[in-house]
Amino acid sequence: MKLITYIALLLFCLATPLGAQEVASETDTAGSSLEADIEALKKEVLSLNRDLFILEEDLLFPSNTQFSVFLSMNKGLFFSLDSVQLKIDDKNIANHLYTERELNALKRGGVQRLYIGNLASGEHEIVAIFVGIGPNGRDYRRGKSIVIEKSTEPQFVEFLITDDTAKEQPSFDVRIWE
Amino acid sequence: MSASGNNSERSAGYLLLRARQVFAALLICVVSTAQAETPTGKHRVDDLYYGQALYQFFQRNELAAITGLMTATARPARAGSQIDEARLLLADLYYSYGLHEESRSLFAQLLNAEVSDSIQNRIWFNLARLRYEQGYYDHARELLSLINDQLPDNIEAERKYLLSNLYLGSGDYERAAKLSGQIDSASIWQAYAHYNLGVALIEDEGLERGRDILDQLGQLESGNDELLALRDLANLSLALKQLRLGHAEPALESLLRIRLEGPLSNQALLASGWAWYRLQQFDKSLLPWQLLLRRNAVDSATQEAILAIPANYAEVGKDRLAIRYYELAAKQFDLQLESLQDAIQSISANELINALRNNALLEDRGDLQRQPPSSAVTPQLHLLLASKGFHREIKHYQELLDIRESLSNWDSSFATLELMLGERSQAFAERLPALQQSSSFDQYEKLSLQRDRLATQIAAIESSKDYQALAQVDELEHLERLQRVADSIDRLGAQRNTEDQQEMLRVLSGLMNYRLATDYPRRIWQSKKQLIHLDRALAEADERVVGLGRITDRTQLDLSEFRGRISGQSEKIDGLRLRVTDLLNQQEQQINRLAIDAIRVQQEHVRKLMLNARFELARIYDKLAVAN
Repeated sequence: MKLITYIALLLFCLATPLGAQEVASETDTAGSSLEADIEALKKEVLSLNRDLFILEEDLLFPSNTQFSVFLSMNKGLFFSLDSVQLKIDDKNIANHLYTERELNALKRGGVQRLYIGNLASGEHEIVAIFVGIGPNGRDYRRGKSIVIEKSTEPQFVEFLITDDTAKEQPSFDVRIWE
Repeated sequence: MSASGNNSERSAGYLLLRARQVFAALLICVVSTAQAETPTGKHRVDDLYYGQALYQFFQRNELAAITGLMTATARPARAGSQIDEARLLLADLYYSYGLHEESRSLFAQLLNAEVSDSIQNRIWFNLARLRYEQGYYDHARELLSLINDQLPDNIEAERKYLLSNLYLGSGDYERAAKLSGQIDSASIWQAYAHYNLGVALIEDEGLERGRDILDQLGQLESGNDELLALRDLANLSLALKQLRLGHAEPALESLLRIRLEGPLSNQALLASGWAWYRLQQFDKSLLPWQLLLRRNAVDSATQEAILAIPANYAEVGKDRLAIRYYELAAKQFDLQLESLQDAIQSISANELINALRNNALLEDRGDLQRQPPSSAVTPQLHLLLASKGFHREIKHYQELLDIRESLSNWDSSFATLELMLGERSQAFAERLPALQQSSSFDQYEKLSLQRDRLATQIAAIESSKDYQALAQVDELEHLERLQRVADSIDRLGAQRNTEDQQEMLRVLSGLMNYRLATDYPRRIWQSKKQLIHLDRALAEADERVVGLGRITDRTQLDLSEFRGRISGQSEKIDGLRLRVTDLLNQQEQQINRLAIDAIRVQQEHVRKLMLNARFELARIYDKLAVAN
């Protein structure tokens, strides 16, 4: 009998924590106007961001001098990227140290814009130096360069790090986008 | 014994509810992970701007990803061959960012546009998933039925999982089982589908089959944390069902497979105690409960164990031990009440908010929803932290922090834009006079008039065949000299015989005219050719004048357009910054309110437990007094 009394009390008590959900949902209702305000703010900020990004690009990087460098990679089986250094005409213009998250994003198909700037028409040499861990866990450092003829159109260069499964080595390529 | 059986049954029911809350939290993680995987597939990202948005998306930077996609789709030439993919991802992101109307509208636009079958199928799938999450199961099923081709592997696995759940919901276990068996075994969706099927079967007259499925799931080997968590959940669900049915031994078998350090270990220890209790092995039942006591004292499973230990002693007649443990329980509950009160004060002093802000997890968007913030009050909030509603509030908070950071960045970089525009305007103003002079029409018009006069002369020469008009300078001199000679001969003619001179003049004039007349066609052709060259040069000059004028006008227009685009934006940023600060404050209050409400509920719960401990103490003391 005593145990039954205990059980009844115990179960009554144990049932109460679940009430937290009910309290929470009441507060949720109170917060719905706040949620609507946040939603309205989000819409405005997105629209502002879009306008300002386009404005920034148009103003700071006019199409006749605009020059961008991108980086992409595939699975990264033979190379784990730690950092990259970018030079134009032997002048250092960008350095980047990678976090785990950024590397993951690259391996899953993301493309990173390493640099955007202005470049005068004519011939230029672009050099990217990749530092990381190569096959067999060894320190690995590789450079890749390309000479481009900058016209009065925006120009895009993409560095690609791919896996050469036949050689079991990373492969570094570069291409110019029209 | 029936009473204790009932006790363990009801407790098992409670534990199952708790386990499902944990499962709900797990499921949120699974869905968000799956969404993240959706667009990768095996296709090659061949559009830089889309790839750039993916780079942000995979880092869970929703705001940056949406902005990138909005910018790319606002300039269609940039979105390249993957414009539909980009818009599909944007629609998906709008939804997860809480902009449901924008998401629906973009999906509708995509469906109305001429998109490839593959994109269309993915739109049906995404819409079905959204409707499923909103609880419109029939509509979700209709949308899934519209998919007429195989989706990419990862999405296909999720499609089968959703459909399998829909079959489960309508009680069609056969089709659900068939479909879950068809899911790629490498996909985690298969494990989830099997889990759902197993739980549905054991709860609905399919005990043996459900038990086999959960048992198999409960023994899988994996290094994947998510699968291990699901394995624990399968074991716990099965064990609790076995306990409710009075099958303590198989229940213990499943419980033993649950990881001692996993999120379900407290529930597993509590249930193990009840299973031993059910087997009347009271000493053994104490072991897991005592282990629980050494863990988080605010956990519900621990609280139940605190009371279960003395109840166990009382049940076997060890009243002194029961008294000792009930007194200990009362003290522990007292401490818990104090700790909960401290937690309320900490929350009011913004400790939870500071933990949320300072927590490094905040930098890793998405992970915040998987792991609690590290603060002193976190243990007291485990139930709340596992709830979907609280996750939503934290997500809003995180979004507001992102917005604040984005606005702050614009605020500091906006000055650069204004400076750049100012410098460009000034440089243009300095060059304008020179440009205006170069693009002046005066000089061009003078040259043009001269050309017209020449053309008229040439036309007149051609029509009159006036070959002498095309004589060159030396020829003109000769002609003039001949004329002077002729005049002299005329003057001398009356005084002396000038026949010889006249004859010579006639021959020389004849030679000159002959030369001019025979060379006339070549000369008129040359003149006309020169006129054509002159026309070309004038046309080029005209083009350059017009071009310079156009560049001047366009630059003026561009600068004016830039001024228009910049105008008012700074004030807009300031206004939005004020709003985000205000909303952040409100959101912080909302989070604090939810946390304090949850703690108050716990306080009430602990007070009842303490009351129960004191009641039992009094009852045992009475009993001993009567016996004495």
